[in-house]
Amino acid sequence: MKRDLHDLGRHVAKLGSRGASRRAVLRAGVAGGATATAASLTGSRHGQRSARAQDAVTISYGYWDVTQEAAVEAQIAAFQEANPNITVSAQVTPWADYWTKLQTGVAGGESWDVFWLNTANLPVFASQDGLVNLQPLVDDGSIEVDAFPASLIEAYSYEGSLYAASRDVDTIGLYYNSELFDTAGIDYPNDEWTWEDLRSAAEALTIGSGDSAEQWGFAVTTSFYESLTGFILQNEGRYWNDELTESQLAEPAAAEAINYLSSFIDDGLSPSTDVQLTNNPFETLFPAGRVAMITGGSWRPKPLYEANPAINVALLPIGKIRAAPTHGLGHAVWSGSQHPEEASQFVVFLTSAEGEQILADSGATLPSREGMAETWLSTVPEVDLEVFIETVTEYAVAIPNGPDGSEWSSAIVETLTTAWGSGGSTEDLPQQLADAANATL
Amino acid sequence: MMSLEHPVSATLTPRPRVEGERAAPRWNARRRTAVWGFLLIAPMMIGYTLFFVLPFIASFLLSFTNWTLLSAPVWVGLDNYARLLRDTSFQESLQNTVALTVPNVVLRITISLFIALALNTKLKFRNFYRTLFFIPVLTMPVATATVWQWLYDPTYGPINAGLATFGIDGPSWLLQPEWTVVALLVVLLWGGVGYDMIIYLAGLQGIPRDYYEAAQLDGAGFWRQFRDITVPLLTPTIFFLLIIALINSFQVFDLVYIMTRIDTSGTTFPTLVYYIYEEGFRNFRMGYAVTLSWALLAILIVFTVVQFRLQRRWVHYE
Amino acid sequence: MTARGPSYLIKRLLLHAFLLGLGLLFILPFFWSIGTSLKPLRELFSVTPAFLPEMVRWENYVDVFDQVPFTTFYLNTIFVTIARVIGQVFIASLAGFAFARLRFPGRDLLFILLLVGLMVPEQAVIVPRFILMREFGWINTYQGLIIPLIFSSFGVFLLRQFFLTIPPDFQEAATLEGANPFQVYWQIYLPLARPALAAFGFLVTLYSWNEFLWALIVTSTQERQVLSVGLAVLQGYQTTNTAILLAAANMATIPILVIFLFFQKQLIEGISLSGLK
Repeated sequence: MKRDLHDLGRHVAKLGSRGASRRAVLRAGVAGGATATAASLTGSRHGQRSARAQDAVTISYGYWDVTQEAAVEAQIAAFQEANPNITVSAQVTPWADYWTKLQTGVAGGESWDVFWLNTANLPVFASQDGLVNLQPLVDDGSIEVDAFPASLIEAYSYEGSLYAASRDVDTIGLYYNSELFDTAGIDYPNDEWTWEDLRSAAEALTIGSGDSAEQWGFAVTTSFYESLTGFILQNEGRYWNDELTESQLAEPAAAEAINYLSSFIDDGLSPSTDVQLTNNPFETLFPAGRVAMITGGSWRPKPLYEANPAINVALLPIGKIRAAPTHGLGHAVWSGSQHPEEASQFVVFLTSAEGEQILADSGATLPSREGMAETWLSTVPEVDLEVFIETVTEYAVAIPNGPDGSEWSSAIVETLTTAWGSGGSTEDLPQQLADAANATL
Repeated sequence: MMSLEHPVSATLTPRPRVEGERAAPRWNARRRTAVWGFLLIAPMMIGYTLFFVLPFIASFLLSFTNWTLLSAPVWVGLDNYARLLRDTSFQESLQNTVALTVPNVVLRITISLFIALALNTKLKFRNFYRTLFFIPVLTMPVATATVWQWLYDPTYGPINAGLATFGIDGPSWLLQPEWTVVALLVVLLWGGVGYDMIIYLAGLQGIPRDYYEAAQLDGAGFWRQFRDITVPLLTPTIFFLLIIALINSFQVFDLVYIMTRIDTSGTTFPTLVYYIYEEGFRNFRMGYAVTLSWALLAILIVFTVVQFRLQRRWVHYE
Repeated sequence: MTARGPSYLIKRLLLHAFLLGLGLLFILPFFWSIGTSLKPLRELFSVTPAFLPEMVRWENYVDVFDQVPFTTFYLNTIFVTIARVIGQVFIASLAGFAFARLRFPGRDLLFILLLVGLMVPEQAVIVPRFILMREFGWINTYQGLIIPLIFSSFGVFLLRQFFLTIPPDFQEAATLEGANPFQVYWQIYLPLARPALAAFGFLVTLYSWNEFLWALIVTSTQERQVLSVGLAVLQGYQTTNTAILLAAANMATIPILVIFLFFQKQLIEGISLSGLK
């Protein structure tokens, strides 16, 4: 009994010293109290067992990107060193199976205590009580939201409370192959580029035409985030009306952007989706020098540069306005976790300067916490990564909201895939896209 | 009630009494057999009840709910079933599935029968041939999908390159639904024929050789032996393969999921189980996904019942 | 046998040509998989992939072990597969025999109930089954990986069909000599069904070896993970080295290929029933 109380005291003190929330402390107190009562009722043996259980806790951590495994393991090692009583067991599950596993676990009552979440899934997880509300940790200063881009904090908030702590940030830029520009004798893309410049450069860089081309000037991909969204935002277009009840893709602003992208396919300046399906542009066509330009995410410089050192990056060409989508992953705590305090402690560590610094050092991705940029820039010094920093800090906006789930964006990608392939037609594509999106409501 | 009757009445037919056998009343023997029957199926039935029947019942109840998987299911009565009736995506996925299943089942069962017949003779290198046909079955699904994606590449793949030498402009195999069905069919056959071949070969081994010897003495040629001995005695195997191929083919998912997926979302050729997966795990509608599964189950049950009904006409048991 | 004329030879040659041609078509993708698994990264980026690597890079196979605990996956898969196969063969053959050769009330109904199990897509029952695993405390355990998958409707169906092809005379004779149904099963039907049991055992091995969804759901640490899930991890998310992926896939296939080659005679030839008449 005495030992029990002693342990509880130590536990609370420890939580306090790590700056955990008052609510977490409160909850630990309640749990401890319940344990004490139970112990007094059932005898000390039971109490001692609980006490030991509090001593050594294992929490699980789910994430999907296997290429970031080293960074994740390094973060865990540092956390465990500082918290010898907590063991973090990490499991990487590839994206294609991640949600199946996560949702089965949540429904079945045994899932990861802490897991990666993207912004698109935050509203549904938060509104369905799937996540622990992290706002108390924000209120007591454990999670320093001011150190993160406001757009990401907003994206991970639901009804005024934070539900996932920002981990990293990404945006998109215009990648180009400098060697192909040199050969064609054209200037590299620069800050001043407009949509017209991109188009004329693509024409000059295309050798041959259509799917039999030897080289394409610009690859238009069907990626929702890396391709379509940037152009729609730059033309001041929108995906949905404010009530999220009607797609706005057929409205002039968005339609213009869509037709602009289609023109590259129609005029044979970009490989069609037929080619892209089996030759992933980022894994094959672009690094192999068959494509001169492509818009892509800020997590790509390292593998692209390693595959082809002629690759560099520039700002997205400017449209009506300068804009680019931004996104980032977050750490969420599962509401069914048996160890919410320890899980929260881990999330606090991950978002701390120390945790984010480890991520920056690894070069895996750009951490979202301020002050990490310098380290990240130095991981691939040959590529102009400043472009992404500039985009994130000055022009980037969060991915536009849509109805819950990924159904509507999947429908858009499916429609684009068909339209930009040999079996489809780009005629009236904006209307086709709007119809496809509306059909998912 | 469908009947699985077959001439297995050995224990019931009157037979000459052997010395030492006790004259037990017939109902007693019958009851003893029944008890043994239950005993022998008990391990299977207990496990099956636990791991299949209970989850079925749960999923049936869940089909009357709205279940995001993230919080408790909400009762919605027959809403999911009402939606099913007017869901065009469901109809589309069902059409795709049928378009794939019918040719797959027919071709698989026929092609593999002829390969098995050829390899059941005293042919040189037959073990080598069997291995050739069976290797696709052994290949891990990830490798299968990766390899075939390359073969089907519309611009650089060897299939379209081969067609080009005949002056044919090959299609975009994995993007145009009318060609995707052909492309998937070929991969299904490629990976399935060896499997059926093995089952056929094992079945062929069970046909007593003296039947053939007797037929040869009567001067029956290959085709007559095939028609009068092989096929009738193989009908239980054919029946088995027919049912299994139909069920498996209706549930095709992996191949569609890995091969026709662009980026991280969507396919231009959703099959029924693909649609179930998407609704349940990507669109937060497990209640509806379960309803779809029950629709699939109903379809398969109808097919199977019809086959069991028809089997009396053509399946021959010893 | 009668004399073999020239027409016989021509027929045989045609048969060989046909089988060889078709067989090569079947195995071509496998060769490509081996060829690609030996390519260095640079050659993978080539848009027109060659069949064989210009420069062979065996290290791809070694690299697999650096990227994931492949040995652990291997051992887990072997252990889990053996356990599942033994359980399935025994349980399904018992039930298959009873359904084929014993009469008991509700037999046909129960059999149909078993068949229904084949028709429900796994996606629909996986969540309730997972909840059951949690109640049992079997998540991330070997029993969780093994036990739910040893009750095979498929096996019962397959073996029932085979038992039905065995002439009932044997059973009658044994029953007359006072054997109980279990003895009939054990001493007559099991030995007679050896080819079918071998075939079933092998198919179960194959299924278990490649099984993915359940293993994905029920395991949560690498110590319990199996090859199929490990391969999915290797397939990764953003950039995949296809050569290493295929190297891993090929290594995963080898044991099962060896079993097949070794087992093939047993598998198909087994004992000819006619010899026992």
